[in-house]
Amino acid sequence: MSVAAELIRIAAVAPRVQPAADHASPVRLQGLGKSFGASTVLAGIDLDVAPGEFVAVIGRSGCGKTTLLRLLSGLETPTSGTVGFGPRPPVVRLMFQDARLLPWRRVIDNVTIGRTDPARRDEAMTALSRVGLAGRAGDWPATLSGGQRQRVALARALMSRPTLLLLDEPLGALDALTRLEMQELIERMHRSEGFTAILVTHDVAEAVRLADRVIVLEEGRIGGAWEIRLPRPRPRAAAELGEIEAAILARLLGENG
Amino acid sequence: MAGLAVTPAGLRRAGAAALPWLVPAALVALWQAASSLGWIASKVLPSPGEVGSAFWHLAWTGELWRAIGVSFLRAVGGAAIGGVIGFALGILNGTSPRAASLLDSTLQMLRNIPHLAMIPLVILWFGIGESAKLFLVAVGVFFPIYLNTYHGVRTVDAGLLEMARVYGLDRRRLFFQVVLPGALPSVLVGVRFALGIMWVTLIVAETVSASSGIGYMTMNAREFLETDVVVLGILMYALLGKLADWAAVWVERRCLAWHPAYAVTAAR
Repeated sequence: MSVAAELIRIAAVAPRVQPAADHASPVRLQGLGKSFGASTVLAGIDLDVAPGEFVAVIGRSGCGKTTLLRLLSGLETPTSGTVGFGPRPPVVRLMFQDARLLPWRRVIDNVTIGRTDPARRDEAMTALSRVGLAGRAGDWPATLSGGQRQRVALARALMSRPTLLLLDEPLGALDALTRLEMQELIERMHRSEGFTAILVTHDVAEAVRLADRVIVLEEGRIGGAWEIRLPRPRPRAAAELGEIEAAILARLLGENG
Repeated sequence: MAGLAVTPAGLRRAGAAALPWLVPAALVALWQAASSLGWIASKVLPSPGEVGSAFWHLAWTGELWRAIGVSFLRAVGGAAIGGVIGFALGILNGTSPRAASLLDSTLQMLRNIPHLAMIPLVILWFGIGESAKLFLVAVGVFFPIYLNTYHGVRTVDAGLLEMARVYGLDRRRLFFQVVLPGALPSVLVGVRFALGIMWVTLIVAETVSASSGIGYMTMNAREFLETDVVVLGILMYALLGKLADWAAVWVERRCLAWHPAYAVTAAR
């Protein structure tokens, strides 16, 4: 047995207890399943996520990871099982692979979307300056780069102080350097805001760097879970991260030896 | 005078602005020269000077302005009726699949009837009064507006609609903040098509039967062989068509300033 085996924790294991942020929702999935017609995309998913925990879900294309996020965000309804968020109703926000900014609204008006209260513009300016884009508030989205658009999308998501932030491969379309910057930004926001985060990605290094727990989805089921107990912020090239990354990659590539 | 100094850059800009007018100006000069030298008989094609004096004469008596006013009101009235109905049906069918499956195939069938072919029928229905012209213009304008509105609503980015749902927009705000602005570029393409059809329809309708308007003015002039007034009427139609197109371009630039294709012009 290898290092990988030692690090594997089965998903049913209770999550690591964190200092429960008051602004975070717990997530409890029980027997969650989703089928589209005859094809079963997800089956029997049991998962507990503690308030404020950062969970990364990783897997090959078509393993059901995006469907899992869509179930969590309420865009799809489960075929079986339940999705629970604890006693208080959660504020769920979803970041997509593309920024999905409304091209006909200026940057600041994209950040305030869905809000009508008078404080929205001040709060949007605060959110924009936190992602480093206060100077572009009056610009059209078409004039921004891909990384800047995702930062606006992040500001838009943080604007409503989410208790659960769902990230659907939000950095997949960015170049390598911009991706590293965005990872740092997301980690910083997670640390300061304390929301629960669930990140879907196919980038093992990204998952290992950001998450408290990495879950591998295989053909609609949880195939394994790794806890990562390294202090944050994490250095980009820590040896421990490399080991875990290698173990997860071995699992994904089917090298169980 | 220091502030108004003629700089080489200023001259270049003025030159660039004048360049598109060079060929029309040369053609008018050639036309005038050919008429003055007697190469073209003035009963066949009057000289620009004769057309100009016809313009002054009719403008002085007020006949020209009355004709333009009547034609303009017909065009705008018919276009408003057809445009509003087309836009409303386009929105309805674009947002409701049930309405679309009920109505769209019928409208697509009717679209294939050339509306100008209906003139004999329209004269039987409405006589040669105002309603006949309004009806023809409205029918002509209806289809481009309907088709482009319907297409625009149908092709609004599904990702944006999904995002708006996650961000809790209600139906009203979803429509005004996402669906309508998303469909607008396509709607405005329809408006530009419709403006062209509007003038052509009106010209045909007024030439076939009218007792007022530019078409009546030119057909009346034809009876008395006043070729200069006929040419003036044609030029007035051209001018009104060009003004309508300018208005459409101006609306596009105002409404689509966010669009990358219009960004350069909007920034100036």
